[in-house]
Amino acid sequence: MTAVDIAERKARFRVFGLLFLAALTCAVMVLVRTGGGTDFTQGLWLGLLLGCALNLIPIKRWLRLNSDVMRLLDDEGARANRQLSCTIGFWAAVVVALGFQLLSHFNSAIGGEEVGQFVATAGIVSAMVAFALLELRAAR
Amino acid sequence: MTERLANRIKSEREKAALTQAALAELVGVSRKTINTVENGVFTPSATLAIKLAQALNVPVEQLFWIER
Repeated sequence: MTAVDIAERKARFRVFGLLFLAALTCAVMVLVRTGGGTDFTQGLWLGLLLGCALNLIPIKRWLRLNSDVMRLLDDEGARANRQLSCTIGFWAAVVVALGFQLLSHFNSAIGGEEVGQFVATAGIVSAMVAFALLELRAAR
Repeated sequence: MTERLANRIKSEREKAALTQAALAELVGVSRKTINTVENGVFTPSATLAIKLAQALNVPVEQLFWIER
């Protein structure tokens, strides 16, 4: 099996990993906001979000500079997809933040913690989903 | 007026009897990147364009051209 084949397999695994993490983060977010907001679930949400953010940067490539497979997993096509998905995540976060700003005119009870959680989740999750979909499209 | 970078990688690759994976191995990128370049989804860097031309033994301006 060549490095290209291994990279292809790992890239497919990464796509499904990203989609799974995005779904899990959303599920924990719902749990946190619907009354299950214990210290454990809050910590789990934060941990998941940080894990997701780490998945959006090529950390493995930085740690294993001489690996052929890691170089293929972060080639210029993947970098372009990563860049575009982070831009999508940024705009999703901006849209959600503006939505809350508008909503706060009608409901002054919206707290800073709530807004922060929604904005961070929207930004990271949409970037992850966008990256996964762009990588899936590239692999077809 | 919109401009698009067109290419004939697929036909040249098939002429050279190479699969996408084999061409990817030759130029040092993933098969996905070759696929997206072939389909015009991704515009390659000058470095990758030259590497592709060298791997396929074709002048770069014959492999890529601007379509208006």
